[in-house]
Amino acid sequence: MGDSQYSFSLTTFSPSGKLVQIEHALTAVGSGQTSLGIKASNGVVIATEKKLPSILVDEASVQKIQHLTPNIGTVYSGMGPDFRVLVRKSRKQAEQYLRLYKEPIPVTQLVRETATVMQEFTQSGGVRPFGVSLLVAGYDDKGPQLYQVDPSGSYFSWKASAMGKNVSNAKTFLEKR
Amino acid sequence: MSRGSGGGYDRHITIFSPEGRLFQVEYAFKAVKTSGITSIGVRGKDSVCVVTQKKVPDKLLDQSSVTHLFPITKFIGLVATGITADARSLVQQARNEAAEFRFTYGYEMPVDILAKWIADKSQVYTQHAYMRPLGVVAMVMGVDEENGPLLYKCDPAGHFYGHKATSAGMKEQEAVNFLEKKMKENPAFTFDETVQTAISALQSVLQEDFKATEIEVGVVRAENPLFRALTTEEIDEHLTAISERD
Repeated sequence: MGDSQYSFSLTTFSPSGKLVQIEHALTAVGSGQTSLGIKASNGVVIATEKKLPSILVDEASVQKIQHLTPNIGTVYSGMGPDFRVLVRKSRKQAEQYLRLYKEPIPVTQLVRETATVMQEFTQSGGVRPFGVSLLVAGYDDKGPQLYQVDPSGSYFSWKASAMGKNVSNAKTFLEKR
Repeated sequence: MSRGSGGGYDRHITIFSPEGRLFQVEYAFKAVKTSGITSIGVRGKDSVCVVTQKKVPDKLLDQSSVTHLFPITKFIGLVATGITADARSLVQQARNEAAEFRFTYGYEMPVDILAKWIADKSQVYTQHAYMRPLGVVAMVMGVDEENGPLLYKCDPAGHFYGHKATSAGMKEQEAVNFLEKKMKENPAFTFDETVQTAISALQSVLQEDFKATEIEVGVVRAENPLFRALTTEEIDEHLTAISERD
């Protein structure tokens, strides 16, 4: 990054102290297809809407839920192409950890590294933030875990969460349960 | 409240607009639509066929140099709809990538991996300000060893999907409507049916009969997985078969 002619950040503070590009990225997420996740006592479930633009599309070629490691999976709401980039980077980080420590990467570590990547794209020169929020579901020594990562790079652990369209309805449903 | 549209630059480089849209990407799609030609791809049971218009704007031009159908490897073909210059750049990079893949891994690059590579490259242009998105929709076709005939479409936004049939360019929506009707029952087209579905789809949306020299047709077949463009005579045969059928 730091493409020479664009060695200034495109995400800058507004007079009211907001980072508007991140807010717009969140709007892009909010108009994406709904996805949600629930953490149980002995596992985690993530799900997403798979509405394809036409019956001509081969639905077997579309996989919105992806593995990051054998015991960590992820789903997104927002821009599919951006998601692919994050999946690729996260998989590489997980492999590098495994090679170095001879141990599978803990869920929190992978989430933190992914979130760091997303944060870098809000501060580096010549790039825009990612237009996706991720739900990362994993199972390691600490048990089942569910994290949501936003375009800003902030992440939280959730018992249950939803993103994308109709998120308020989904969250109300989840809160009741 | 907040400062609005980022100083108006959201239309010039690929940063988000207040509604969360990328205008540059949307304008790239517009560029594909206004390029003036339409392309159609159809996947059959054991073959894939793509058809595109061949508009030669000047009689003095060498007709054989005007093409939108590009072989990427012996087994993978690509039809590029949109800005021709961007298409040539993309094809050059795709050819390089496929050749390196063959060299590095010792087997032919699969169609879906190439489509993913093209789409990932397009995604980079939507996220980095220093390069604009390419004004090209690429339809990649080939016969995969494990999955049979495959047709993928990659667009300026970085999306890519496998398709049973698809279209791009000026009359994309009309063509998709036509193809949806034809493919609704999930038919398993033979090679001839695949080619004729593609050609008649183009005829239907352009609402005119055309000569064999006005279209380009590219095919791959499971029994002969080399990508090749049909000759004018072969195209004529199919055109005749279609008109006799109707």
